Amino acid sequence: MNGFLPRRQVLRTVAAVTVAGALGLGAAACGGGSAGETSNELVYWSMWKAGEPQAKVLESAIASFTKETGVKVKVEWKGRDVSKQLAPTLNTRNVPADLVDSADRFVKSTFVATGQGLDLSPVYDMEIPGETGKKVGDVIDPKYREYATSEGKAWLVPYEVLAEQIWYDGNALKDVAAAPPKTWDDFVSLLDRRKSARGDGPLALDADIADYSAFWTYHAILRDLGPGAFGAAATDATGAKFDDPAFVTAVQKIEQLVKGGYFVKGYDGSKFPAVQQKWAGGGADFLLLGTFAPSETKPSAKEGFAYRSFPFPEGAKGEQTQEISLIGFAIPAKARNAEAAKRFVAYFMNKERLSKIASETDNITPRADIEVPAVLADVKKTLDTARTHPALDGVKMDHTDWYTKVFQPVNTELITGKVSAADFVAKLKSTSVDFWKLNG
Amino acid sequence: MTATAVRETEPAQRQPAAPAAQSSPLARGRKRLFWPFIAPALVLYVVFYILPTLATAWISLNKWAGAGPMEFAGLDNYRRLLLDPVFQGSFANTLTILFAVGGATFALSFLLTMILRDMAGRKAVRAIIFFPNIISGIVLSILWGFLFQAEGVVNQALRAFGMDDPPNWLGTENLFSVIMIGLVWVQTGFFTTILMAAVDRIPKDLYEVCDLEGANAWQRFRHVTLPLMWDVVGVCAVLWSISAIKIFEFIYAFAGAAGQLPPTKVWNTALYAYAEAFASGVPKYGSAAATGMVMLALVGVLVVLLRRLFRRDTVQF
Repeated sequence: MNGFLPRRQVLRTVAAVTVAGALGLGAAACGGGSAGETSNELVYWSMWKAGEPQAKVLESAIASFTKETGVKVKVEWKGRDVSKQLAPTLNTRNVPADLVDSADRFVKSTFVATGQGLDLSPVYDMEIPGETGKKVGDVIDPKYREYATSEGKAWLVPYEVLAEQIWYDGNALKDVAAAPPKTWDDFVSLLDRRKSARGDGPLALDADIADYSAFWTYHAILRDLGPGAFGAAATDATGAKFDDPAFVTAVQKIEQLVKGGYFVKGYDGSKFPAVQQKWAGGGADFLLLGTFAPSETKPSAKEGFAYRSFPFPEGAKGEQTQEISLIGFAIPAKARNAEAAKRFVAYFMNKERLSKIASETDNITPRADIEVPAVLADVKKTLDTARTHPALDGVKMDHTDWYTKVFQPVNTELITGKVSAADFVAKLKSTSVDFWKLNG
Repeated sequence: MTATAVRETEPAQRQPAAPAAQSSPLARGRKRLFWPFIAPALVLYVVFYILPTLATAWISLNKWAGAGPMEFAGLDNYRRLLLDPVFQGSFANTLTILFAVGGATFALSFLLTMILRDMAGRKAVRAIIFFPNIISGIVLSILWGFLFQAEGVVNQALRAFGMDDPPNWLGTENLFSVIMIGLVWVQTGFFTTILMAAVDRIPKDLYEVCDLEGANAWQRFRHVTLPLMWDVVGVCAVLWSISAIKIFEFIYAFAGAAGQLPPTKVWNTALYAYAEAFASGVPKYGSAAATGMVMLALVGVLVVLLRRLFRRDTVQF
């Protein structure tokens, strides 16, 4: 036992090891270079999973970028939770990613609200490699740039535009393709015809996805009260905006759809994506969904299915507007290789490279000079003419908590026929007032 | 059969021996070895358990988005939790899972244990009922969702039996009940297996005595099986309480889809904490941490109560 260390020495050793370990962790956390330096490498965290069409497009752009510039890109295909994974690191000096891509609302909540995102305005001023004299800001439609700018700072450079429309099979419903319904009354009489033709509700809805149920309600509200009305009501701490008679009238349209049996049987008790698959197989006529609808439902679409769409019908406001959301690039404020990340963003905005997002992933890009896929031609037509505004009126992006805790529960009750339009508005008002009292 | 209160007597026996042990060279050697042996585990425990718990407690007193500055908020996160109707609902659901699902799971497990005790092929049956525990909860819950949807297997079977209007299982009015049934189904095999192992230790002659005395099944259970497996039941109750409060993936995967959360009506506190941190737009780590601390307190209280409830002289046999 002579070989044993004296007790004091043991304690000292233990303490030293602990302190050294803690210092080591701290040093690792504090390591890293400073932002703004030019560098020959960058780390890119992507919202796509390896093998997804977008990942393939980005991968080929990365390969050519490295070949042409010598900048190595270490890409990690993180999937949709990329912002959640990055968020806890943003406070440290050792932010592991120099470039991320994600849906607008995640970028906004992770970067903008916390002040941890880089102002991307300089990227819009960068020349696009391969397109002499053209800057990023010249090719991106100004309405998308404006959408992705807060307090004068650009927080996103979009490369994909999503928009919600009502989808149908153009081959099966040739009369609709020839003359899509413009007004709410047109729409309801079309639904009446289709309902009696098929003996079931013609509207497809996976009501277990709260967003999909919300699409119906907020569209009806915006068409009657105009863009911004839903967002304004959501943030009204007094709840007075819900008292506007136009509000309940708009919601009554949804009540009419529910009570009238216009939604296909089983819409309120199915597991996503059962109902949208049923729709693609011909089990329903219309599906209100984003531009991802064709690619999501293609595997279950019946033979000869021709994807066509029209915007949500006009309401009392008498104006056709179009809801959109964006997917794009963002750069953490403390990114070590921010300059290299900016170079890649500008590089990817090149027409030839970005056009693959349209041709190979069936999506709309923010560049007006890139042809849209045939399945999205109707959406593009609306985008070119209608005023655009954020999906869900920006409420999900800016007031997620209200949307999740106040709106969604009562909206699900409305869509599944548990409450009337009047009760919906009353309940929304009272829970909203309580919510802002607690969280305002 | 003798009963000894081991816990009470042991410290009393040790104490008088202590001064003598101090002087023994063996005891001194042991004492020197104490820290070298304890230190690695202690360091790991402190770094990975104690410090994160303290950090969580600290975060729960702040308003923090996960990035950016932390703003001290005192007990405001806890105050908001108490007043938030969604948290109240989530807390009620957690308690419902704890007691209703727990009660049903234990009742079923006892019943199966009794039935399987004398059954031929009991090992095969035990393996089958344990099966849901091996499969990932995510897979099970997704499968469960497809079974119960409007045109799912369950409703097709019910229609085949002549029920024209089968229940809307996944409708908001039934969703939580279906989740609870699913949880019972997943958990029962696990607890049955543990309880059966406890029952297997009970000497067969005790049951033979019961038969000779003319005891019925209930009396056998009440006077032989239950007292002799009491300590194991106590351990199971603690295990269940801890896991019940942390249940997350079954509800998340069963009632949510396409990356979206389930309706707030079926949230439990674990889902609430997740939603506060990751699904409320700007992350609310302070509120999520406060929820975590409430869950920790609940586990603590339950474990203390259960240990008191199950504290009984160990029956030696």
